[in-house]
Amino acid sequence: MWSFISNIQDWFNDFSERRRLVRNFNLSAREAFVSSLAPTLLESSISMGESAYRHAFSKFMAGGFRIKALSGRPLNRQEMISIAQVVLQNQELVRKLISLGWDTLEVHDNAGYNGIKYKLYDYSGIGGILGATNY
Amino acid sequence: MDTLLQNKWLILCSVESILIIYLFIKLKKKRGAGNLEKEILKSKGSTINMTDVMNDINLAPALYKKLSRVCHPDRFAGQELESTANILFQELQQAENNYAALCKLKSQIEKQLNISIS
Repeated sequence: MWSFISNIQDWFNDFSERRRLVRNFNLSAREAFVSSLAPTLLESSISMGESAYRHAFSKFMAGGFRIKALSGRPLNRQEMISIAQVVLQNQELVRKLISLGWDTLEVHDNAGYNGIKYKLYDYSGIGGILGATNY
Repeated sequence: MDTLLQNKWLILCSVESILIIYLFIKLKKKRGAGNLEKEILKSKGSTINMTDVMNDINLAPALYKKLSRVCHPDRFAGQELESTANILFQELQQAENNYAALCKLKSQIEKQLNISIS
């Protein structure tokens, strides 16, 4: 019974931690945009994610970490890749995202219809993931 | 009265069995994850500085471009500093998207290659 209660408590903790991470990202992006450090305003949100990218810690129907670039014009593929690469090369951030139940990183703009998706699992650099045979 | 009591027990039994099934599934999932869980859960409590992430996204590309132009090994071909430039350039490529690391490298480049970067 205690395990059940602690599971519920964990779920709420994870939920608030996810919200906090998204809020911090948006706040920093807004500050960077306002202080004219950034030419485009970035905004992160929680999306459904890609079902093919799911892992053991994925949250049901909320596995996507979506970064939307409010640029006013369609971003080209290279620009989207460069935004995604910054997140993917920050291993600490990727691990945090995975531990909080995200499995997909999505980057897209607000004007175009194109976007890119990455499987976070592949960029975590955890030996346990790559070497897991019983997963 | 009897049927009411029976229903009570039935409800209790079904709730209990649902709980057991839930815990069983949870246990199976945990076993499946293995070492992965331990490693991933370690990073759950870590704090991420989002200002650094924003700097990596917005400021790192321009600084990388500038530094890679300044300390490219081809500029020091045939000179004493060629090997130093080679090493610094390799470090630069590794820190392409890390603004803090690029700032450190900038001062290193200025010291070791005797150049001033505006």
